[in-house]
Amino acid sequence: MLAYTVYSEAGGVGKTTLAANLAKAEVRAGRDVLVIDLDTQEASLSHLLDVADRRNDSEADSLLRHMIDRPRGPFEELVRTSEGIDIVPAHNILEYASKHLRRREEEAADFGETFNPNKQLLRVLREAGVHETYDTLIVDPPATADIKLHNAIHTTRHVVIPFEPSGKGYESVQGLDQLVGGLEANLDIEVGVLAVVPNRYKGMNDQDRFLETLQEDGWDIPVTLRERSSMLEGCWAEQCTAYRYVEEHRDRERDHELETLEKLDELAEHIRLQTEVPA
Amino acid sequence: MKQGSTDDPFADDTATDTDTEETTVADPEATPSQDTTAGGTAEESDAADSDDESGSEPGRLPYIYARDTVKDGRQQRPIFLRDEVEDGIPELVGELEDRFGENVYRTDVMEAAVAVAQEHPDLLEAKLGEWGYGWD
Ligand SMILES: Nc1ncnc2c1ncn2[C@@H]1O[C@H](COP(=O)(O)OP(=O)(O)OP(=O)(O)O)[C@@H](O)[C@H]1O
Ligand SMILES: [Mg+2]
Repeated sequence: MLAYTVYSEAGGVGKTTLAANLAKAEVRAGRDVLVIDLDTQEASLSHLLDVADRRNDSEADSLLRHMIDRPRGPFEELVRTSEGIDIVPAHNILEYASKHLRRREEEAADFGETFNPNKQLLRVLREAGVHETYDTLIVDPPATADIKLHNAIHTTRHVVIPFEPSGKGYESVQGLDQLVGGLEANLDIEVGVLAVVPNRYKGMNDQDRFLETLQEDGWDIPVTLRERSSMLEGCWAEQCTAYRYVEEHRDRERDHELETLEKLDELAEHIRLQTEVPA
Repeated sequence: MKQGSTDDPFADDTATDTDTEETTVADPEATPSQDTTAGGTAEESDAADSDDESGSEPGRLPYIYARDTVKDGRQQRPIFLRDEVEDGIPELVGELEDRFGENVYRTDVMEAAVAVAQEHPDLLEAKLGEWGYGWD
């Protein structure tokens, strides 16, 4: 199973947009895809793909309950489907993930057991046999580096990094390298970068300079996504992927939008090929 | 963080039994007799004095009853086995199940095998000798 977390330290760089559309690109390629939304913000992937209606329901089962060994039902019942993409939506209780996981850790310690709060997502997904059901797993974590992000990276071991081509964006990749380095040491894992994806590129010279620097640093930049505000704002309004938006909510095809969809397909394929090569 | 692909944490799982391809390192709780074990917890040695308000004393329960799941407190470790040894494992587990008259986890058997070996290095010496160690 191909698995990655779409992450950048910078907020609002397009993590959720990229996660949702890469998921759709995978479905278009005939693959079974599961997306896990760990972000409790309103503008979440669950909202974008219109599966957020139970996030407030305190009676509902949630992924966090499974992570602390208090499930209310089978894992499969957490899963919703939108545009052929299976999604575990974010539930509001995730805001207290750290508190609940630490409490469970303490309780385990009282019984002489170990419980690593950073490793529970992988446990839950393995126990649910997600790797036997799906070809691709994509995680959309919160923007802040917290226990949910640790779980995401520990589970997927791979990241796709959206990147704002600017000095600030460049700093954020450096910052991520440091953060991931800390996680690698703490959790005894190795993390691979499947792609760095410049987003909202406007073709300016100084932006090119940052792309070159990143490539010199050794990161793979398979495609560059341009500024597409109208289409992507439309996606949030209609609650759908860019593919569906262009197909159903545009009365005529616009070449530059089709070009962006093609690039997303190309990016998804490039990511797949990276992991098919034996290490 | 490096460019490209790395380990697949889901890869070493088999279809039916998540325990079949793993073994574990010795767990201090599985070998309570070894008080030299650096990892031994205070709870083990102080179990008699501890005044747990809950009434039940989980620190005293045998290992398999104290844990929530068979993987609790265990680290998954890859292990290299030749076919003839690996093929003998199900039979060994079956034999133990017959003796106990209950279900026995392969994971427990694998860890117990390591623990027994730690307690009886002479048995290991003989086996390794068969494999050619100690030839001059
Ligand atoms: N290429 C682009 N062109 C124009 N707008 C974009 C582009 N990519 C993303 N956006 C817009 O930027 C906003 C933020 O995107 P998104 O929510 O995907 O970012 P995020 O990194 O997930 O944010 P957060 O850190 O809050 O989780 C959205 O309104 C989205 O439509
Ligand atoms: Mg987001």
